[in-house]
Amino acid sequence: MLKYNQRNKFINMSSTTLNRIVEFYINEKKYFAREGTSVALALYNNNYKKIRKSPKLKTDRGLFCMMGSCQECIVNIDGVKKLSCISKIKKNTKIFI
Amino acid sequence: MNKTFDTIIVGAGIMGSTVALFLARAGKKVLLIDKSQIFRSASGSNAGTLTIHMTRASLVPYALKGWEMWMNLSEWLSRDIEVKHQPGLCLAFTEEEEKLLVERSKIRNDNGANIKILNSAEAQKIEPSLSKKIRCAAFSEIDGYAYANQTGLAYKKALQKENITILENSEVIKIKKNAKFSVTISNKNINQDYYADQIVLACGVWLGEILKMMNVKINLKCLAQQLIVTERMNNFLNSVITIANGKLSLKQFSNGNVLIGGGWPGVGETKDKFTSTIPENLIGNIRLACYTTPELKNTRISRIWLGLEAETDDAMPIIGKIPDNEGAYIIGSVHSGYTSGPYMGKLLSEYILGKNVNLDSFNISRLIQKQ
Amino acid sequence: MNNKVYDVAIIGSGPSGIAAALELSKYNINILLIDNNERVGGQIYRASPPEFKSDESVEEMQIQKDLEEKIKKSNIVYKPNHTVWQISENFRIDGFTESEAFVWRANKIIVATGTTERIVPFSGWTNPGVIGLAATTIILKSQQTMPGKKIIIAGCGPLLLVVAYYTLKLGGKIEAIIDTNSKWTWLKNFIFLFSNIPLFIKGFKWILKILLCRIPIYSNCTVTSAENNNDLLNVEIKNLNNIENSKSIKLQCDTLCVGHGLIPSTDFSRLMNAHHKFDKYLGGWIPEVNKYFETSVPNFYQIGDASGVLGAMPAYEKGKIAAISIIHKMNLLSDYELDQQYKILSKKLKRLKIFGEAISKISFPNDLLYKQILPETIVCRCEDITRKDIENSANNGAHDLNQLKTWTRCGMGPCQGRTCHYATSLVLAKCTNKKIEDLGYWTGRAPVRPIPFYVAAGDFTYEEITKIESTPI
Repeated sequence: MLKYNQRNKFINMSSTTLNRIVEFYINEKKYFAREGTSVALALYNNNYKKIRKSPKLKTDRGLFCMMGSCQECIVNIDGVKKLSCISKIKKNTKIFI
Repeated sequence: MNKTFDTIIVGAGIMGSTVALFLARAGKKVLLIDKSQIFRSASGSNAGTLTIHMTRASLVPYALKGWEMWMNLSEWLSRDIEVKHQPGLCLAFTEEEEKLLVERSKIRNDNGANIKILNSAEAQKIEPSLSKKIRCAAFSEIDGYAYANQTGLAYKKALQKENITILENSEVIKIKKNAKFSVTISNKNINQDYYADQIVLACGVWLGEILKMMNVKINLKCLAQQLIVTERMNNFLNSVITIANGKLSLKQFSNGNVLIGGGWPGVGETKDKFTSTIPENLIGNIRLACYTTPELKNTRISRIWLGLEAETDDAMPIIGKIPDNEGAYIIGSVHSGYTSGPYMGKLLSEYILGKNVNLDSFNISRLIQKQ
Repeated sequence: MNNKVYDVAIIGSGPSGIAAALELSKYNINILLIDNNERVGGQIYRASPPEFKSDESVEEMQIQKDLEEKIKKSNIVYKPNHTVWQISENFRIDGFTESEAFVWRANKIIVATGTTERIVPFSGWTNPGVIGLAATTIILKSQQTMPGKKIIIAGCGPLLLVVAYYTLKLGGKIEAIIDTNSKWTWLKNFIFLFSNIPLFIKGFKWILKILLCRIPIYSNCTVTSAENNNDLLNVEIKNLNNIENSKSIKLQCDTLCVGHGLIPSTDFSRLMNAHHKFDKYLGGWIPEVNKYFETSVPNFYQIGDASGVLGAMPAYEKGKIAAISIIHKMNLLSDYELDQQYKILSKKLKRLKIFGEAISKISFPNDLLYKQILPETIVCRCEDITRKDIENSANNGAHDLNQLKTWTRCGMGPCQGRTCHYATSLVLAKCTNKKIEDLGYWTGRAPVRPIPFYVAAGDFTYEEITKIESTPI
């Protein structure tokens, strides 16, 4: 189990507890995150803020409401288009933007 | 505001609005009344299918003429509606359905259509996204769709250009005839009378109620028809899809939404216009769509709604004079009225203007209940 | 599908839903509790994912844990991760998880679905990097992390405080707080906050911490523009009285957290065709309810913030009141007992409401914010409809929300108008010179959340598809 030490990317509320860090993939590139993290947030904090384009004006869109309401954060997760804000990072989750 | 007109038309859907348009262009002074807003009922919430496959066989000639008018919309109405000429494929999955398909196609061809039966491979070539399980398909070059939501605004602009007076949010509460027809309408609890030599009833599911005001009684069913729209998808469908038993229609708009209909019934009545689905029918419609078009597995359902459609006892239209009511006319209850609407509306306007138009088969007398 | 009919189905396991469920569980009846989140608690007690090993000494986490325990120990049938997408006649409830569809039946339904966020649009609000205030609280509390490194907090209402406090607690950096309310508006309503001393003290401590950290606070100001600049956002701020002026303060951040209050979630009450009324301070359109929170649809209740935004404390009592009404209807409480219990609960609710009502006065966006919506500003995000599009439609005669929707597609996208309902109403009201409440509200339709086709279809054979009468030839 990886020891959590990437403090510049994630700030932990609890100072002493260990969390399971897993690898996941964005466009086939490997990243790490705490297991259970929201996919939308994992994208956001790894600088993938622009995750799709709006249908008519083709403006950049990304994470917005974080509660499955606005429908802006849809990405391809393990082959299926889903709301990333309410999806969770598991080991080997593959995200395509 | 002037209270006297040549013609008062009750109902600003596709029938009433088309009659209004052509009467006005022939010089008549027209008042068009709607209890809600223009094109808010069936005409604005239907699937927009311009199909020959699902039109009643005997109405095929009207649907063909209607289709032509839709394809030439900019000549007589507007450029602002998305109208697409696409081929229509009507599918069969079982032996029984194949027989039905052949029968239906033949009778439509007898009435002027040009439908060919294709085998599964030929159908797949035209529309690769279809299920591999189809046995055969009826193919009509003449098919397509119009975007129902946009029709209201386009018609409104055209009507305003002809100086037709449009009264929305105005409910007809009384009709009397002395020298002229007097039509009492209620708007925000204020009543007002309007007068005309002629009156045309074109109010869809409310035809029965309004006819009662003229002492004419017919039985009119109010059907709540279900529609399902998906989220935007990449364009994969270039035909209008229907199936042999008539219970599916499927098309994709240019913005990527797929609209699924087929007339699966829900619950709804004329009283408060509140409609709701019958869940078993909703699931049935969804399954049929999925079975026919596997590509739908990649999308989500965005919205489900229902529109109210009128149906007479023999499921055929009512167009023409209202008996015992000199100067009163009626049009509606067509089924696939959206396809034929422009043509039928034009026909009635010509009939009213005294031109040689035969509307005998649509005479309301056949339906009038004896007192 | 089994034939079990629950006595009560509760949709939403936030404070009011849980309160109702626990009250009902005192009796031997069948209760179903459905929530689309993983764990109980709603937004306010938003727990972390179970995979996180979190610090449970945090007060709110402890409350959440207690509630979760109570639900587990009870006879309540709890369905987390289930999204309800339709309620039909006879209270058939259709739900789905990621891969499967479910159907339940109940004799009575309680909706406790809380709120969604309201944001008044401004130039660039759809740009990545601009997120909601409530969204930020979820990131901070539940995901236990910061959205970016340097944030600007903007808008109105108590969430400004919540976000600021939790950001500081996590060690994050706040560039500025932009509050559309003036300090005077806060002070004006201050006295009512004394009605709930513990909550008041908590809030006061939070304000103190923020002030001690010397975070720049711009009162009576609003963000009028947020443009992407590589990974950062260039944010422009103007005074409410000078929005039309070109003079502005320019700041930079990587995330702009903005929100203008909360809107009761009326997806289900509109779907059921319940009667609604417009109450500005309670969040906008809310279902008309009797004193037990039963809507105009018999046996259909709506409680908590979904019946008017007043916060978690009143939500508990609303849940209990609805519960005792149901128990009485099931003849497990006498008329007298119902009266007695109602007296106690309603008295408590009345007292707790005072705090909520004071908060609501600072949670409604100032009318002047309308000016920050420029003609080319997107109002409906899903369909890219701008203010100009809405005005054109109004000029063509669209004078109510449903007509506007038909003609512009505003509200027709994947979110079905949840995000833009207020902003659209605001713009349409201005250009038709009508009041927002006279514009109506969008007709509620299923699915209340988009459902994947394959999940809705489920497993089936062609023969199974319900055969209905063929269309006549």
